[in-house]
Amino acid sequence: MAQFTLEFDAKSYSLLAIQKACHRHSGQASFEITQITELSSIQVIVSPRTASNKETLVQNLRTEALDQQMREVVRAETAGVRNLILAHAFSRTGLIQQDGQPPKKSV
Amino acid sequence: MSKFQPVAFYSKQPESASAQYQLLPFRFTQLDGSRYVATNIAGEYTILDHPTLQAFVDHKLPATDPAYVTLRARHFLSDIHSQMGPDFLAIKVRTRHERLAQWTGLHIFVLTLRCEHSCPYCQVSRQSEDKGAFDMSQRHAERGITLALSSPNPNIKIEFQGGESFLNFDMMKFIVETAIAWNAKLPQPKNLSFVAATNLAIITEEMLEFCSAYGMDISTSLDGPKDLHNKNRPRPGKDSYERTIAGIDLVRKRLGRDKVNALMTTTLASLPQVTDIVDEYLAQGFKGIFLRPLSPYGFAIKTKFFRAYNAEQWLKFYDDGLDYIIELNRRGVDFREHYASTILTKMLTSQDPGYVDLMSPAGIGLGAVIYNYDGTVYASDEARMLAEMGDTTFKLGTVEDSFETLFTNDTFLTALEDSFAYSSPQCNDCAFEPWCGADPVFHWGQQQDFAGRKWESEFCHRNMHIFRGLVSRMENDPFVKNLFAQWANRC
Repeated sequence: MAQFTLEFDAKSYSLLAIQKACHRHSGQASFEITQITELSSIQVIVSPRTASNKETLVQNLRTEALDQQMREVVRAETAGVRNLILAHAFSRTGLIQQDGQPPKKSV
Repeated sequence: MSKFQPVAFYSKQPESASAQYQLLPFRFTQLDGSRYVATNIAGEYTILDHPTLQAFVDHKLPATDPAYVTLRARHFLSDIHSQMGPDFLAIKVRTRHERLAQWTGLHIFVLTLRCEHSCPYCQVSRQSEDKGAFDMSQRHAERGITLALSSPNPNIKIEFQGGESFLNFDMMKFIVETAIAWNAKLPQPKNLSFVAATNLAIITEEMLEFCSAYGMDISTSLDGPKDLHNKNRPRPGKDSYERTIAGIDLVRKRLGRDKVNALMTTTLASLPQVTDIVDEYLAQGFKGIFLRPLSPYGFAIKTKFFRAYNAEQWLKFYDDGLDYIIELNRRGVDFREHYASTILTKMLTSQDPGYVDLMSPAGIGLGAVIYNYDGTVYASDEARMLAEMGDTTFKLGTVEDSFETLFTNDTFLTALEDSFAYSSPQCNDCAFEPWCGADPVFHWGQQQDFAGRKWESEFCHRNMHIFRGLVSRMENDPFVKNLFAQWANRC
């Protein structure tokens, strides 16, 4: 399958979301990702590795980009509580050491 | 002031209050064309269609939606009725990871590389029966015991492996008796237990008496019906099956019914025989089976056994076997598949069964450590198999090193850090991450990369398929949901 280009609206998608969507499909294609600030767009040049169906690949990439964008929203919104839960979970376990301190000695 | 909330607090939220909730950390992955699996930070899951997922993330899910109640009950959101959600999640996360603080509990002693079997898929290079050079020395055994008893873990399991471990029975006896004696002198003695991996072909009354005296467990190999087993596991006399079955019978009589477990390995010849293999385990009185693919190490690679079938063929074998086992249970036969049970325990409870391949941080070193016959120490059984192939990347050191030196080995710590699934590319977005694990030895062996490129990782492909299969079966069939809950809670 020949190389082709996809464009994503940078107002709707973060660069990270597009990068992750492409990474997940690395087995099917290689990608060159460029952020075009003046056009507020993210351009992805797709070079398929095999002669797979272009429509399916485009559809999967767009679905994955949407999912990744939603994951970004969840991650950002829950970052504080996630850190709180993890800190609480591992407090008093001996697993959290101050930086630079040696591990606990064994018996 | 009353400690109780007013009655109005317990009334349902009005629809207008639909946006009054806070998202708690969760991940989602497509289950099929229309549904997503969402898991919270403690690994509890729910199934959502895309419109519901989108509405939930957009804070537009009405409190009256049936999914809302599930999402609240499973700590995907907190609202005025569930402000303890983050605290509960923290307790569940702590419970799930409690093994980390305990450090290594399984200490494997490779007593000898000698074996009278010549299995073409064997994962360690075997030597002929008369080569004493491949036996563990007393000095190495003593140092291994010292290291095992140095682990902070209060429960230490010592496992004997080979070759055929009973070909060095004298050293097995020495290690058991010495470990018990030295343990008794510790200020805080540990709970010691012992297990011997053996093909049972050379087991004697004396050996059984010793195992009985120390409550030792036996782990053996049974690949399936007689023809398949003997084809897979050749030995002089071509009687591996007969000896294994006789050995299982003897162990049960002398040690007790539950003291022997068996493992099978899938070869190309096994693929069309999964129901026969399960039936063989049933006929031999086992309560379950662990359907295992070949590991890409040792003779399995040299003899091309590993590539004799592909991942898709093995997954079909696994699916057929699992469905057959479910049908047996539907007919009233109590039998389970152990790999599914291990995963289901992670899916449906807050416990982590501690299966080395499904741990993150990786189970190497943390879950198990290997003292090889020659005194080298490896981070896992697979690590020593890789070393037998000439790659000593996961060698921690030797038994002469201190416990601290071995477990602060740079390569070991780098492998743990690089492969940690919580922060590994793709894994950190994957809803299945709380159920999965990091397998840096597998990925290093296959891709020379500790984390592994997931899109070409057989480990990832195989486990994703199994996770989806288990969830789908539960969602589609109430009987299976009930059955799997039983499997999860008996692990």
